[in-house]
Amino acid sequence: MKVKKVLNRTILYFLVALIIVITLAPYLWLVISSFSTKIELMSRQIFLIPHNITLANYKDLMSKDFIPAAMNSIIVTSSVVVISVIIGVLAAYAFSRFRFRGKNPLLNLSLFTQMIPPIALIIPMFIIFKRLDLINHRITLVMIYLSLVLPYLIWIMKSYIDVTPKTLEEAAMIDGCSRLKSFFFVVLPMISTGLAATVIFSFIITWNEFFYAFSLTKTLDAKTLPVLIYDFNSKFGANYVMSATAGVLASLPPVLIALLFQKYIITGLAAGAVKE
Amino acid sequence: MKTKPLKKREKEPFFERHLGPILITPSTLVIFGILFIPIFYALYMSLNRISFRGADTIYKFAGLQNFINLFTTDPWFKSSFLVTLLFVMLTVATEIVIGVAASLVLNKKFHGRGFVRGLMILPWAMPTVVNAVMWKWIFNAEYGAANGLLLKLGLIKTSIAWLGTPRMAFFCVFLANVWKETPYVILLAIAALSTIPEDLYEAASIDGAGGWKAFWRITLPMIKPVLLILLITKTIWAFQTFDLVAIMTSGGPQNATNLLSYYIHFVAFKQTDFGSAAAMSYVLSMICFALSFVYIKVFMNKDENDEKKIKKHLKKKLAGAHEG
Amino acid sequence: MKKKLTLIIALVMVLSIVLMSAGCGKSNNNSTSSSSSLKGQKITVILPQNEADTVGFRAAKTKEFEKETGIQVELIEKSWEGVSDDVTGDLASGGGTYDVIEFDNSWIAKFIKNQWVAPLDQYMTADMKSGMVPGLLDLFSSGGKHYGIVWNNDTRFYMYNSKMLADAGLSAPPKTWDEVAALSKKTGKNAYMDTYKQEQMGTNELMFCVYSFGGNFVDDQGNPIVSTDPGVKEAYTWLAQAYKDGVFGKATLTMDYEEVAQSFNNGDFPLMLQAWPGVYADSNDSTKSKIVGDVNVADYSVSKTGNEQVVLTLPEAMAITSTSKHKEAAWKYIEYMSSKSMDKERALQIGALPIWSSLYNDPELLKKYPYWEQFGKQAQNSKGYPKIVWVDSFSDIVAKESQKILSGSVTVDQGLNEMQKLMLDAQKAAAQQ
Repeated sequence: MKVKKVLNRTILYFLVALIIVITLAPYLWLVISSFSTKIELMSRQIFLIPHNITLANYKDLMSKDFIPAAMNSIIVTSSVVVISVIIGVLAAYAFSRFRFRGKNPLLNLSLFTQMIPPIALIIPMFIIFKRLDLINHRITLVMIYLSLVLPYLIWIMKSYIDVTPKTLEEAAMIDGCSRLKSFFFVVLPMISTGLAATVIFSFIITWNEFFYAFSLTKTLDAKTLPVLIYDFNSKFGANYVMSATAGVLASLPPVLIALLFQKYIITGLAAGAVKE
Repeated sequence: MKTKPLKKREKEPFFERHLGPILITPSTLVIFGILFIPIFYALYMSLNRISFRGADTIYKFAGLQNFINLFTTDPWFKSSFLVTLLFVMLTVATEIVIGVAASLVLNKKFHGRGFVRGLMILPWAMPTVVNAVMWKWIFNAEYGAANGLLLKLGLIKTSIAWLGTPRMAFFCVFLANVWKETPYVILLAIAALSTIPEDLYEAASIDGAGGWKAFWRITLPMIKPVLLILLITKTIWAFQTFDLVAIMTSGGPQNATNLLSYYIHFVAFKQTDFGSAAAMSYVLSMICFALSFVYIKVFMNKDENDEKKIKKHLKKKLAGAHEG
Repeated sequence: MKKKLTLIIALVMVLSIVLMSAGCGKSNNNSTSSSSSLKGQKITVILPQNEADTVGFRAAKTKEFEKETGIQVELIEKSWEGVSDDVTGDLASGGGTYDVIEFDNSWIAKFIKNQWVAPLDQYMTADMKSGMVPGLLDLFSSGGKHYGIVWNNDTRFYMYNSKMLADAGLSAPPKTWDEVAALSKKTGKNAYMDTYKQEQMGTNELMFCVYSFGGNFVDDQGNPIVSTDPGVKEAYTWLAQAYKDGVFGKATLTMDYEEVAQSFNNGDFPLMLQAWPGVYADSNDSTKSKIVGDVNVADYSVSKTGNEQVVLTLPEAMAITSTSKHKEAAWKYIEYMSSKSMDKERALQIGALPIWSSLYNDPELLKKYPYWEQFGKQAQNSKGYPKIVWVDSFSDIVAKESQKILSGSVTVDQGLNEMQKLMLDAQKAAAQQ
């Protein structure tokens, strides 16, 4: 019996180790590549620590449009997060607490919008935004990303508000608070976990988005990091070292935030399916 | 109930009276303004033959001709469609099977469990573009780490052109997708597993149903609702895969990875055949829409009946276990 | 009497020259006056990064242009694929974003048919018309009108690693495709790498191979002849066999230009059949290359018999969009960037091939780039993309179907028949539009 237990533990730890290696190894190689020289990477060897650890790639990157693209990413992402939280939470509150005509169809439709293939939208979108002279503007990306993030945010927040007891709110209203005031001071603090989860999701979805940015931004006026990384990869510039370096930097914010706040992510994930 | 609040409401100012609709207006405008106008415009485009003269775009109504052409004259649509179908089925099935298996492992008690579970977030949180670049670099035929590793281990004698042959390239794209998407299944499955009460298993083990039997009898039925949702959403999103092939293979070699989203983008923006591209995108949309309806049905069911069902389930199982 | 006549003729000639130069002066005055009115105008220029331009030549000269003329230029430089997507996407949705655009040789028929580019004849000087390489001017014209001024005379060179060849016992690089195959057989390694990728660049390289076998994809009228042309069949038969034998690496089906060059400079294979001028500089840069000093340029290219020479030329031009609101300013930019003196400076700094005929005899340039002397000879047989409206489909079909033939998943005959059928379909579809 004991032997069997030991055997079981060994198998378990072996499997866990396997999962760790499979998860970490590819990313680790990306990080290692970003600190290596091009010549060493082309030596057909794999190594854990490069012979000449170099920061030159990072320095190079800074001179190669990285900073403006990162700024665009930051501006677009923070705008989307802030706006979506404000208007999304209010809408979630309305969907949870009020009764009005068309409520349920609207909710279902908003869920449905998440399933429309972006490729079906991009062709007409491109033409419409072109006529409105909105191609290559950060504001365009902000609007599109809002439409991606909001349905999800509303659903999650609604499910959180649904389970907060109405009695507290009603008590506050009897005390003379307006509806909105009671929402802000009574309900909002109670759903802060859900709020944190949705903020993180909005951040990650927006920061990582590639397809729309790729199709609708043309220059550094609006180009975001994923598009820049794609550019490093195309004709006359299959620059793996640059791609790796930019990839490491671009993945740091979402990865770090996700790792730090994993508690919220897991609760948020459980509340609904999130498109990544 | 209906008359009383009405009187009261009439006294309230407009803002208070219509607070609900007012609060949802901004969100609704954004969501439907950005998404719904284009989807109808795409339908219009798909029914036209579109050509260009200088600054003008000329729409000539063509009925269903664009759709018919997809199946008659378009040289790559059918193969692209089949490749996409294969890709979707293989990735989703693999991700769910591996995901559930891994979640079972990570649900056991061991040192550093929190850390390992946290690690699952890494692939999920990473930008898809970085994922694609990373795997393209690993599978580089000349200097990639995959060849480096296999050569060092002596598993292969000469370098493999990973992305150079149709099957290999498909496999590499498949692998890159599975690496990135499986952790999402793992995270959700772990969350679902944690809701299964321990005493169910205890009861089952008294019953003599350990291991596999317990998995089939208890675990799987308990996490089935989550798996169902995963299955549908994963399928829809797999149909929309674009970044991976755009970066790793450009749809090649021999169209082996020419996923629909990528092919449509190619027809629209490289060949400027907007009509055909819109028609194709509508075919793809219809598939996703059909799946969405199933999804919404399931999701609603889960939301409303989940707790009831689980409780009922629990009772039955417990009763069954005790009887035995 | 005769003397008198000569005198009169001479007088007339002198007079006409005076008048002409006066006319020129006048028009010059006009243009300077109009250029002052152009001051403050803003034009947007989109061009692919020039792979040879490692010193930022274009960006620097654009700044100088802004300073001299007072015209503001937003210069967008990105990868060719990126530029292609942006330009086509913009023009197909009404245009108006760009004034000066990349005008690739493969786009000529399509862009002119769609009226996306404006004719340049009203702006071009007689000097330009007579002084620029005639082939380049003709290529970018249609119906007697000129539409583009070449900025990248993209012609390829046959480069080789002399050390690797010497190790294999060769004193000169192979002249024929059979010799290339023999070299690989001798060394047991890849003789060359290239890009036969499923993208337009793949089509370029396959086109070179077919042309060098004397083959043609389409006839003079633009009708596909893939299934009947003997040269095409020979080329593909050779390619399929070469793939099997490892004459070129299997990675060739996935690599792009940059990777090929990197690999060549890493000393992985001895022959670079289609190198562009910029590769040479990198080969001799020890931070990028392991083969410093070993690279040479052949004065011929690989072909079927070794006697006939075919050069693949894929020039890229600058054109003015028909929707541009600042055509005058746009033309000023093109004129500035393609003047003879600028052309020479560009040649000296980044090794770009000139677009002015006389520069091929320029002693200063020839001293720096001795192999250009051969260019005159080679250019006689230069060939580019067929001028067809369905060129996107053409390029797509060639890239995709070729991969099937190369990797042996269909026989050469099957593959070529299918290619022919697809091309006929594409041609028909284009005619309907």
